[in-house]
Amino acid sequence: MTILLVDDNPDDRELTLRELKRHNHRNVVIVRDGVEALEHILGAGQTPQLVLLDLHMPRLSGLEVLRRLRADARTRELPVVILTSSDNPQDRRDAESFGASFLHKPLNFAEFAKVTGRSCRMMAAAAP
Amino acid sequence: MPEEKVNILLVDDDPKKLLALESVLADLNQNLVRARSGEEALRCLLQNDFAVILLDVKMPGMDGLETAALIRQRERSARASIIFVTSAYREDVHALKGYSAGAVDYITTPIVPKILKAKVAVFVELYGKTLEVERQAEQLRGLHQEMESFSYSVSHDLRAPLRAISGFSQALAEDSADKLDQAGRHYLERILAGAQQMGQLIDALLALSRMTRGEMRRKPVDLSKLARTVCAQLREREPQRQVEVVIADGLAVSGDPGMLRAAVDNLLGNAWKFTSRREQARVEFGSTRAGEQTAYFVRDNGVGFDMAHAGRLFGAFQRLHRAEEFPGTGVGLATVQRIVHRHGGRVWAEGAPDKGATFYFTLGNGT
Repeated sequence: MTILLVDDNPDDRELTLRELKRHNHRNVVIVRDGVEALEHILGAGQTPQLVLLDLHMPRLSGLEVLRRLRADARTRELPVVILTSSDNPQDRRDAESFGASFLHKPLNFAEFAKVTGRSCRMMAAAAP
Repeated sequence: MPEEKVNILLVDDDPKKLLALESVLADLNQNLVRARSGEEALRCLLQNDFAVILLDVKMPGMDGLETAALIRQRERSARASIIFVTSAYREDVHALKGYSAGAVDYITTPIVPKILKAKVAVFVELYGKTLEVERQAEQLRGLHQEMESFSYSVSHDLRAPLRAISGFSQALAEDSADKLDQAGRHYLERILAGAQQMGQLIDALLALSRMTRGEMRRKPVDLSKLARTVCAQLREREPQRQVEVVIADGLAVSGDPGMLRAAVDNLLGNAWKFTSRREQARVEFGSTRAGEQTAYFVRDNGVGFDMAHAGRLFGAFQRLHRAEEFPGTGVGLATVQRIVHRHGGRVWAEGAPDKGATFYFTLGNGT
């Protein structure tokens, strides 16, 4: 599975990547903020199979990225997992209203596997 | 600051009486607006806010009482006080009372100018105060909102470096433990424990700020049931401990369920914690009279405290014990105090060193 990891914090990027690699996810592309994420996905048309998306980022927030992904026919159904350290319940509500899963940092692989299993099944069910 | 003029509405079908009212009230120096009927009064109310409405009870068409009832249905005129002008005292003018911020009163004819002026002046003042209170409440809501987003940003930003500390320590422990000697592994453990403690502090602070702001909804709450749930969880966490738990039955109150849960969690959690060195630990939850009110209490036979320090118990980050003796954030009782205060209640403690402690709280008039 190709995963696009979007996070502005280098420590978090490294720790998340380490956790993914430890569980045999080797196909991870990293970008450093929302603008780069959209360029990668919509601009270059390199749609990953899953986006692991931080929320609070400079330039373009994760929520805005999510909104634009949902507005584009190519990525409307793309599985997105929000990975944040936000305690604000509004952030979770926002993420879920766009059909994204919501996880707290640091990435816990068991939780990750659970939500990705769910969203990938939903994807398969939605596929024509 | 020069006081802004307020509007006073005079409603009477008789122009002579209107003129009389006007001349009496002229030196209050407010805006006087005349209406010749109930319908006209209602039209005035569509356009302006009024502090006081003087309403003739006997008018052809829509009478004073009908007009008043319609006025009260409109949110915009809820703050206006209504003074009925009537030739005789009528019980039914009071039927409108208690529905809004504005008062209802009456004055009998023939009008005594001094009394009329005094009544209107009082209600003009009431109106000003009501507006002021509303302004302050609005300001407070704004501040709370600001405080809320501030605490979320602070916790978010504090957690980032903390995650790096614990994440990389964890990575070091997992990937390179064999390259570390015993002292190195010990240091690593201390770093992880420190990071964990700080994470708990952030959680506690967030909980504290959540209790300060935010909506409070009173509902019936069974404190006895709540206490039993909390104690069951404490037991589950430390099944090896022998603690005698006594919970009084039927402690029914009215309060915000989530907040009361947090308060009881903290108080029983403390009792549980501070009896950890007792062979025969005992934790009791019950109620007693405190003057006119019911006070609920959590009593334990733990290490207690010196009453000389009682004043510090409820301050944030105040701890009476070293963390090595009893772990904690020092924010729990501050949270309890906020919750109790938000319910309009009081919280206090009694204790003696090595003789246990009792924490009491009341929940204001809602109970």
